[in-house]
Amino acid sequence: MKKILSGNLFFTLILIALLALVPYIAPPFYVYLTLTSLAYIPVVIGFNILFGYTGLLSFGHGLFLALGMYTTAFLMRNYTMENLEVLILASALSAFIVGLGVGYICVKYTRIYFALLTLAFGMVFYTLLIKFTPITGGDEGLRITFKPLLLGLDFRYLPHLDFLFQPYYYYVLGIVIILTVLAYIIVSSHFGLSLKAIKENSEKAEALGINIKRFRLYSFVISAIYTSIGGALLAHITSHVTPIFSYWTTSGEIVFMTLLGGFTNFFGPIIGVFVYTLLRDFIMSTIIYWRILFGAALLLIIIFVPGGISEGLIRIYKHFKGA
Amino acid sequence: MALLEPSTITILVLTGIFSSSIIFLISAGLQIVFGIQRILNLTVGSFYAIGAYVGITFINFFLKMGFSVVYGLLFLILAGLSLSFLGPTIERGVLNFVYKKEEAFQLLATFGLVLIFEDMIKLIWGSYPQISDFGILTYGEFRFLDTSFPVYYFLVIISAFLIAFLLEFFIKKTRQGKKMRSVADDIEMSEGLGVKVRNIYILSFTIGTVLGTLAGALIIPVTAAVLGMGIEAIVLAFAVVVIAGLGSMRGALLASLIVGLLQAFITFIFPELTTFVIYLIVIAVLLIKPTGLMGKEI
Amino acid sequence: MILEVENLNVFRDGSHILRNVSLEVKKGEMVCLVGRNGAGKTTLLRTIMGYIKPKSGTIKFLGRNITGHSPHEVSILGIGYSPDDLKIFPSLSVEENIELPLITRKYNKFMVKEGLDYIYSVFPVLQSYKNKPGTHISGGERRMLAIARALVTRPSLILLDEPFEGLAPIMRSRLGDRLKVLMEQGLTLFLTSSNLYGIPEGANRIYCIERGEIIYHGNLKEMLSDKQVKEVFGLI
Repeated sequence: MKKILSGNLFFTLILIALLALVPYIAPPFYVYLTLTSLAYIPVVIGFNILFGYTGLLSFGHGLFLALGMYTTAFLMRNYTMENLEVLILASALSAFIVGLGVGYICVKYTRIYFALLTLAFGMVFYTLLIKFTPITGGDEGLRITFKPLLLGLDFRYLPHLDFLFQPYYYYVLGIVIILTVLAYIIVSSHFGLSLKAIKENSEKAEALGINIKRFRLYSFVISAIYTSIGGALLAHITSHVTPIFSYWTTSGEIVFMTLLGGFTNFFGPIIGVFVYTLLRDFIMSTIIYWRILFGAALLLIIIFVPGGISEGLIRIYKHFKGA
Repeated sequence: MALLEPSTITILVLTGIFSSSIIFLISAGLQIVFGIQRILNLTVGSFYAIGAYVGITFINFFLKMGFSVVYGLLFLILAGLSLSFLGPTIERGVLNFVYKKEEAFQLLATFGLVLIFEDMIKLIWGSYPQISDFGILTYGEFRFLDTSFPVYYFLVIISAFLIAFLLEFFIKKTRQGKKMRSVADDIEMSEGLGVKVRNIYILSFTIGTVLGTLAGALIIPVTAAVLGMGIEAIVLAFAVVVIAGLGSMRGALLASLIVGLLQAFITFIFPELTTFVIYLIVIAVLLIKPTGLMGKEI
Repeated sequence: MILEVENLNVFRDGSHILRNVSLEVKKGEMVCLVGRNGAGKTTLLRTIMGYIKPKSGTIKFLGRNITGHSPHEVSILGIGYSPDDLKIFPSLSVEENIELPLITRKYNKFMVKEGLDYIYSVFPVLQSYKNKPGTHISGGERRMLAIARALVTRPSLILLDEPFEGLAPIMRSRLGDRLKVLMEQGLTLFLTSSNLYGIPEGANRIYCIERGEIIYHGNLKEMLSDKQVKEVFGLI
């Protein structure tokens, strides 16, 4: 057990080192994709705390992604808030409030009803974003026209891409590492184990004295905060926030990334984000009909490897080890 | 805000009932599959879109062949029915493999199918909206008070009611209908009494498919076929089945009327708030009565 | 020979539920399988019906190997089944519940009518409720309805899982009489009971099952003096 753990740690350190090298070794376009993937990591980790660990499929997580993005854009435009740390905290706070409200209602239900209810909330938020033009910019969304301060440091003198690929890249990497470690601690804690117990057998968990609804709500709120912070990080990369991030297709993408990488493994969704972002771009730029490929991939994963890439890798590893 | 004059109200009510008819067909397709297979089949939206595109292709083909436009409605129904082969194909080819999986995966499998169909439509018909040569006024107009409506609206409303009636008759009175009800109640016991559940699955999915393609074919004299229409339809139909209660056919009839009329009025008064209001109702229904207006217990 | 079960082994969730179970039912016999709750009675019946795939062993029906057949094939081949929890269809009326096995065999209208008449002659009470939803009748009547469904096709073998469970004494004896009449008409019956009182007096042979193993086989009188059986049912 200890050996496996140290092996994991070893690989994780190598991965972080590789990620840190990306801005120096990769062409700008791939740096951009890697940066986008990094911002999506908190999103899928958040989603999977709810799906993989609590057993609740949210089909409306785009809501929280958009919430983080719009909170950021709104505060920057209307209150010229510049500190990225403040913007992240504000996004987390708004996700906490909205997540508590929406979650309070949603966790009363499970299974398909939960999925439907979250989908409905996502759609309502989407229409709100389109309708309340004075605040949200309507269809057009909001543009972010200046760069935030990172740890109070002003990088505004840098050209946009230089800013993204150097200071901002490392800032995001740092935040993502902190959030990932934190999430790992959360799911391995007593709380995380309780969530798993609820997922596997809610009646038994209740008999053991776990307050199911309250734990589901905690999980929902944590999930919302993670996803919203991902949105806050993503907003500066796209520098344009639009209602589409709250649309159900975006929620579907979040689900897809998680399944692709594998929801049964903590690191699965992270693999999913990188593979999805890189593949999507490659496929979208070479094939017009990328949806056919994604749809087919989704079906194949569901039918043959529900555990996604991580399960596939483990199977291959075991196969070779056994042989 | 425009004043609601009596003639305006009549128009809104009638267009509302017309869209209710279409929405009912789509949501009935959702309900029947949910009732039997316990899967929320998002694909029904794609079938709706395919029905519309194929309807246009059919009607334009027949008009070019020199058939009179008077047979238009017939060709559309034919187009809808001719797509029934999609039912067994998708059911055996895809759904068959996910029956034993978790609910979430079943939902996602149909989502995957929606993505595939979206692009297949683009591949076959391209990105431009498709329009039929079958005008909405082919069957003339109907005058009432100060206003007039296309007779076609009435024909569609009547067709929808006829289909609802046939469905009810099929489920209540025929042997296949009895088997379907037994499978909806208890799959294992049905098997133990000799029901071949596989066939019932194929049957119910095919009925669901045809309801979708028919709805799509019937709408095309009124609107062009555009990309994304399937997704728009599924969003509405989904609202209907939640309000109705998952699996309830009568509930779907009632909820389609509510949603169709609301859509007509809200679109007239606050054009952009339609989805918002409908989804607020969805949330309200889920909160007050999660099983919907006429649903069975969870 | 109607039913032959040989060395049946069934596992569920890693535990060994049926251990080398062998038994047989001859034509015209009433055979009773007795055992405490959880001994494996329902599992055995469900395995015969094809709901559960055995790990090893064979099940022969009318000399034909039916191991691994699906439940609807087993049903069509001629085994009627009434589960312990009845499973009446609430969406079907009482009459439709009875009709279902006839419909699945594609019987024509007259054969369906004939089957219904037969059931109504055996259980007249069901006729008076024929248009009620299947679940809107009393518990005893539901039990009869479940047996009626198993009986209506006049199958070569009927499996009844705890037919006397939860019935009032008067209903028990009434049902017992009905079964006796049916036996006289040449029916073959395999039923289960979780206690010694649930064994009908007409039973030709009795198997006793404990923890998935057949521990006794013989007639009722001898069984009551068997040491192991006495231990299981606390008669010592």
